[in-house]
Amino acid sequence: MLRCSALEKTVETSEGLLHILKGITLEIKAGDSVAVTGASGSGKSTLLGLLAGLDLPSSGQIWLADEEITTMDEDQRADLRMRHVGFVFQSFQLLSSLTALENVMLPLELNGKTESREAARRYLDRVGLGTRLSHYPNQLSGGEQQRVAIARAFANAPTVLFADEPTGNLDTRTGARIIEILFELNRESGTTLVLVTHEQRLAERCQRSLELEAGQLVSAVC
Amino acid sequence: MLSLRMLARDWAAGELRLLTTALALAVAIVVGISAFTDGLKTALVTESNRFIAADRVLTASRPAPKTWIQNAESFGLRRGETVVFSSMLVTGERMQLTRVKAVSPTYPLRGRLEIRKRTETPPHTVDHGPNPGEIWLEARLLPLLGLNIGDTVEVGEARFRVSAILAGEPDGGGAVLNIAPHALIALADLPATRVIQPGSRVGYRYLFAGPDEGLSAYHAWLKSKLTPDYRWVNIRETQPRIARALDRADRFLLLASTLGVALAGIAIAISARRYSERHYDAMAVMKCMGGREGRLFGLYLQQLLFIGLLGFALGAVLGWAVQGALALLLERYVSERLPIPGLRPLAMGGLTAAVCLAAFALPPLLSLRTIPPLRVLRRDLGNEHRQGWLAITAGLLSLTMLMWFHSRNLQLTLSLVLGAGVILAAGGLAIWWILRKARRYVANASANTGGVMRLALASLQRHPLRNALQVVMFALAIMLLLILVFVRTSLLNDWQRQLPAGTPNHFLVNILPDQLGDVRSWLQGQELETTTFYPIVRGRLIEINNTPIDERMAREGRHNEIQDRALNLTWSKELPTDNTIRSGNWWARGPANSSTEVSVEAHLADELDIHMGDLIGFQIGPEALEARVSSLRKVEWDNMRPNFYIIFPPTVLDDYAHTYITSIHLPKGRKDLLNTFVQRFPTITVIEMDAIIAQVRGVITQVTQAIELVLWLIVGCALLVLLAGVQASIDLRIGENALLRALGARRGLITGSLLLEFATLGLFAGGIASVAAEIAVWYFQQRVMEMSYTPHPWNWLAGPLFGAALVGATGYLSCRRVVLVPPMRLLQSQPP
Repeated sequence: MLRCSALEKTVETSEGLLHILKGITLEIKAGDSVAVTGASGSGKSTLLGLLAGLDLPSSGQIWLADEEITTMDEDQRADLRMRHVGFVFQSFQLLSSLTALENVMLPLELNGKTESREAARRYLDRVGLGTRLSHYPNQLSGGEQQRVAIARAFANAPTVLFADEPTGNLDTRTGARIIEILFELNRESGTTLVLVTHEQRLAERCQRSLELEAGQLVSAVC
Repeated sequence: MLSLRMLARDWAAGELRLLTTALALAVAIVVGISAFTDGLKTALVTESNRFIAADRVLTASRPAPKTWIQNAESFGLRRGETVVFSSMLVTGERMQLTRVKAVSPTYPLRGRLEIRKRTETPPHTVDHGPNPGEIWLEARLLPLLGLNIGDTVEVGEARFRVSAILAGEPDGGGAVLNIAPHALIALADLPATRVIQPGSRVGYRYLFAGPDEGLSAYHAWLKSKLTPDYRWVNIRETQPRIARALDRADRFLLLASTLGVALAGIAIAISARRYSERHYDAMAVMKCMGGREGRLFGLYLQQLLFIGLLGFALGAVLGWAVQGALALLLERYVSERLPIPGLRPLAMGGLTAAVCLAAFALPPLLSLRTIPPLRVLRRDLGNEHRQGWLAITAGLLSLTMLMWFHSRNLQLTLSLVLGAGVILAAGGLAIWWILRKARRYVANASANTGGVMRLALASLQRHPLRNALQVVMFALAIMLLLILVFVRTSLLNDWQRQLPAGTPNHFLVNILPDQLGDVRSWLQGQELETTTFYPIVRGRLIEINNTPIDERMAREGRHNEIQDRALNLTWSKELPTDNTIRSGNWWARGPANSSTEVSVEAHLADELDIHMGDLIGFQIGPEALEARVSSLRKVEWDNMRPNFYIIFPPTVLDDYAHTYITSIHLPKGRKDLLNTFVQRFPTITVIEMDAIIAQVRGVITQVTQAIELVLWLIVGCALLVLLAGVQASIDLRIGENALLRALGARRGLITGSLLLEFATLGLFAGGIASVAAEIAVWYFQQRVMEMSYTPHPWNWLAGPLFGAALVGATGYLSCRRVVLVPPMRLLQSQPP
């Protein structure tokens, strides 16, 4: 489902070249759940962005759903993301001018799906927010916002779900509830899950765990 | 439709209100002002055309070919004709030189004739002139010729029955100095009089009325055929006072709409920038979800289109309402209803909306295209404003084009844009420097100042560039507003000066020397103020430097009506009121030692190519007189006092037959004194100018009100710019202040520091704006309005204070949410 080979990411800084990722090669099978762990600045989020096709590596190749995304232009990658990818972010990334329902409808509308309202309502029900449809993000708690974000991520029936520190902004209890929902939906929909976290508890819920250190893959725990 | 749904959501969230309001205001200003000025000009010109009895007049000293005149009908014009000549009216033993006007049955095309059936009855209006065989005589002709209504009188070889007393001609008022009494006959009777012979001095006037397009097309057709003998006359030449008032009002309204559009454009640019910045995250998230760059940008473009349509619709309705309100204001004074404006104003509004959106809103929106999807993980991406320079350049260019389009004056536009640009940039840099330098002092000052001051100072110096930019923005809005207020004030003062209370409103003409004492004492007895009594000697200007004037003019292929008529020559020891010497010197006091000096009106001198020191020859009766030009004078022709082209020193004309002229102010309630005067001095002509003065006053008053109304619209635009400017930094301010509140700052502290911070920005902005506005007004009044410039010393203090109050209030009102809403909610609503 998802693999990369000899992935490098280098950026220019005022102090010279900075190697964020160095020679990453990995493969994730369909339906797998994989945690990417590591200390802050180890390159976790950069790897997630590259795997999801949000950015291009300095060198190396990436295949998502058997298509090589490193040779694609931004529009082709956008098409691929629309067909296959869902996201959950640490900072939720809900649009503040849209209600909970509208936020979940957005990817469906962008995909041209007609029954977007009904589908969005269903997913919000599924995450326990059926009664908060018309609430704006600033009227929801952090946990509730993340649940809306999870509903939005699954609404488009992605084949791969990328989650970047999904519990990073939440307290332990709320975080635990979010993890439950995330894994439940993942199981139900058979989605491949790639999860960036530094929380051991969350990493343990995954089938595999990859640890990054200074941009290099140091261990793969199965 | 997804873009419509997105628009509805953004609208509900209040994201688009400022942008749409700014656009609607730009459209409203353009539609309202152009619809109103179109209508105003048409109505007032039609109204004023009463004074030439037509919309346009072709004057000639010989008959125009019939085909020319008849062809006017094919351009949809109505036509009329008058032939004016001087002739002796004879009855028995008595005779009197009279100015006879033969009129076609369609005369007058505009305005009405007034006649009396008996001397003592009040005049009534009629639509056409006398029937064939009849003559209407001015009242003073009856005693002069010893006639009564019903008697007969001879004009040339034809006999006419006196059927009415001529009390008013629409085109009679302007001819103040036509001394001879007037008579009206039918044009059909003219051949029978046989008075017009080759060589007769006759004035042919062909009158035309109809739609503007027809008049213009006919004139275009006719123009190439006209020799210098012909003159195409419109109201601007015959009623310079109204024409000038209209011209200046028109220029003011053009300036107002130009500045209004500029202000609205700036508000649109700022609010569009804020809108696009607030959508960076949304764009990144949607790209992340698989939205293609082109498609997503297309969605925003469609939104912009909807905003454009909505803004245009709202603006058109508002503009129409403004036009209606302005028209209502004028209705009392304009007997012609303002015509319903055509589609031109709407088209101009539409064009303005399109340009505003394309030039001001699109460039900031373009930056959305380049927002990378990776921004969802790294929020610093996409904040570089790569389109910044593009947006500024496109905005400035379009602003210049828009201002040029509305002002129709490239020089004015460029001067305003470049001048304002330089001053504002210099001011902005100075403020930035001051704020940066202030850092050093803030720490010291903070120790000695209260919390409010400390917070405000800290906030000001924390973001020196942002604050300097805001100061420039505020300064721009305040400057444009000040320019308009100054120009308006000067305009109104100038109008007030033109027709002060007590302006003479009646001319007394044809006063014989032996009547002078009686008239003076009668007027004094009635406590009526008069101007000087000027003697008038009728004479023709025939030579310049010993060359006949006809020959000189023919050589240059030119013609001037002065060649065809006698001038009123006068003498005076003093330079008359409202006359100024352009070159040369007025004669010294005391007895004139050079009897051959003469003073010539400057405009006439230019027309006839007369210079200082030239020798001018006059024909006065059978005698010739020569004089050397010793001064050229500028004359305020419309000050309602006797004015003269030619003035001699005292004693030169003593021996020639002369009469006197003066003007008096007759208060409105004492109009009946005229009847007593006319009965007491039946041979003196009274020319009533009060109707014209009242109309001019009325028009000016109402145009003034219209200008005030337009000014409020511009104030609205300026406030929008301030609001947009404040909102551009509101997120940051709310975030910072919410944090301060969370840390325990009291409401009073936050409110005070916000007020102080914005008031300081306003103070700086007001200062820069005062300097810039003063320079701009100096330029504008001198070059565009052709008015004298008066400095505005109070502005140097009032400008900064006004800026401080306005920006302080706008800033506080916009940010008061920060003290009214619990800090928790504010922090939650802030982007992470």
